[in-house]
Amino acid sequence: MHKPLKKTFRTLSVLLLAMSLLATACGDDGQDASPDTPTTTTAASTDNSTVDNETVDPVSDLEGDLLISGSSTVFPIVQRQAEEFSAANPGVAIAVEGPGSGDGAVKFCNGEVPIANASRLYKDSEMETCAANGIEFIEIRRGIDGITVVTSSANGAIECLSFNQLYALISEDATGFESWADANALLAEIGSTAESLPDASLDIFGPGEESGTFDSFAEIVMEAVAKGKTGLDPESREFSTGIRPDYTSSPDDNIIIEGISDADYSLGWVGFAFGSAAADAGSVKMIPVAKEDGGECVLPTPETIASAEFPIARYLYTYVSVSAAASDPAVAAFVDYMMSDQGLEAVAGVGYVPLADADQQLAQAIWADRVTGRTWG
Amino acid sequence: MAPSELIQNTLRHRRRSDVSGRVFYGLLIAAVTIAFLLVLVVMSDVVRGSLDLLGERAWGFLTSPSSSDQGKAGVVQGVRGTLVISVIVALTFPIGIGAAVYLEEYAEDNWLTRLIQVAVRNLAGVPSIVYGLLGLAVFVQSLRGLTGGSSIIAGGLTLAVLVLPIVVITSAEAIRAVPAAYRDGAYGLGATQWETIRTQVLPAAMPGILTGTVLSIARAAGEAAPLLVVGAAPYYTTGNNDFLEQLRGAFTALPMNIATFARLPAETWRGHAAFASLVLLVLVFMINLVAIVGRARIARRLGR
Repeated sequence: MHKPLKKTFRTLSVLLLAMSLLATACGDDGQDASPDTPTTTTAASTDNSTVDNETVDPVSDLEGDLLISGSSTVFPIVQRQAEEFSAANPGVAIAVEGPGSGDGAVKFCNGEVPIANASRLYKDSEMETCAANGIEFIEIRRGIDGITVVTSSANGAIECLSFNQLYALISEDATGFESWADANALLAEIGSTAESLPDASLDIFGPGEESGTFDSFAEIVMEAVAKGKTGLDPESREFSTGIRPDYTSSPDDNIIIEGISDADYSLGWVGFAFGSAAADAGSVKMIPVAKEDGGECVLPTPETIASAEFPIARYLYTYVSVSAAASDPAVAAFVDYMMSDQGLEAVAGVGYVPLADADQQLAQAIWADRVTGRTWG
Repeated sequence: MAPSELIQNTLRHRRRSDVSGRVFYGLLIAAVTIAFLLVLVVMSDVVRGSLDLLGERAWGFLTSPSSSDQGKAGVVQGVRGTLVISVIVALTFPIGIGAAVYLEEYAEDNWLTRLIQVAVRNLAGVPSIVYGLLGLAVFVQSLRGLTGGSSIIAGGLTLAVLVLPIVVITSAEAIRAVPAAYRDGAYGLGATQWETIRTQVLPAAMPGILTGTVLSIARAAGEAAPLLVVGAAPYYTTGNNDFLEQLRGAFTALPMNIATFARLPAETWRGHAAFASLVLLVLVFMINLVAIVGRARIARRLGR
């Protein structure tokens, strides 16, 4: 009975060996892929030889490891930039993850990552942690993410919503409303002059509390109403700055989009990249938004978001460690590329809105001069 | 009437009158049909979703790293990650099998052994995300010097710990199923306990052990939640790092690829998620196939 067992072990070890060889082979493929990319870039640019020479960067011999963490919203921009960067710098190993702005802040302020992205400014508490650990940072604004208010493409009854109407539909005060018309009484009560809403069942979909899009929507819309910025008297009553708890929430924007497109009189909010992609595909309709009752209804487009005519937008940031930028050439080289005119094209390339020119130049100057500490907001 | 005809007639009569038996039979058929239909729906959904990509660039998708460009994105890093994780998990099997041998063959039946057995059974039911937290605390943070932080070693070891209880339980069941006569025979010929286990018990239990271990590799290959906590990177490049450095560097796995694709804007990324799912299904199927073939070969060699 010795034999079968030995044979079994031999078979098993051969299998293991085969699998590790396969894994190694695949690994080599992955490695090959990086040097491959510049080849394709070169091929592409020879095809249309009118492209200026700047797009074909000479392959550098820079080496290093680079770990980038932070907001999942900013992730697609950084991924695009990291791809382009590694095509020119195949020797640098880059890893980009997107656990969220807050998680990124923890890692950044503990000195675990040299670069972290955020879909909001760092909070005071986060900056204190950074200071306590001796991490000095450069704060770079890098793009804009509009928040779109969306409904089903079958909904022809709603042409525009004002901040006050959004408040009357989605704020904590609106908890329990099952029809759009339920909001009319609340609108009258808070002194809004907005048009009355139709009697149709109200199905709300949006991101959950853990999401930056949830925070930003509450901050921008609900707080504007509560602080009297939409023409109401903030002293007249107790305004809530929260969002009603009884709506369908999901951390996955595509599931929110699905819910909105399935219910006829749905209402929801998602990031501009998701909203505009779904509107282009015809599954949902973006609702124009006016800040004040009777004000101009603005549809979110890259132009109206960049010019701040569209009222619901947030800025995206990247934090870079000063000491890492000084000591690690890979960090400096990456942020250099990230803030170059060519690198910044990734912002629009993945569906976000580039900064207005003045802001853009300011952001580039802040990086070039290594201005530390809070510079925005 | 011949006796055999009589018996058959009686049986036929019995069968006809056995209403509850036939209802139960119908229910069983219904259960099988539902299970089969569900698998069919999942498979057809995944295949239908990946048809476009399959036609366009099936090979390119299998051999490209992740990318923000739909025309370039692929799953090679995920396939590689899942294979490396499978190898790491497989390398830890001796621990699980050893624990099972100890529990079944050596340990005395006292309160401590029973406590350990209950604990192992409970561990098999702990949600995978909890193992992710364990992996984050132990393999990513405490053993950073060994694993290099959020690396494929940390991810692989986390999943190895996740499936360890399953390996112990299935191996213990297989060992317990070996007839006592095998052991008695070996002892009777003067074999020591270790010789008995090595030459009689383990070979006889091997088909069962193999089934359990390979199924647990399939389980590990499909887990996403623990890897998310351990810190799989949705995008990475390897730079000039050699294979050993890559083992301690950033990693991803197929379930992570699927999750990343599914959350990207634009309907067209759904095809990528579907194709990545198909790749994972095929991979898991192949691992299971290895188990079935291996078990059949061993069973044949044992002459049973």
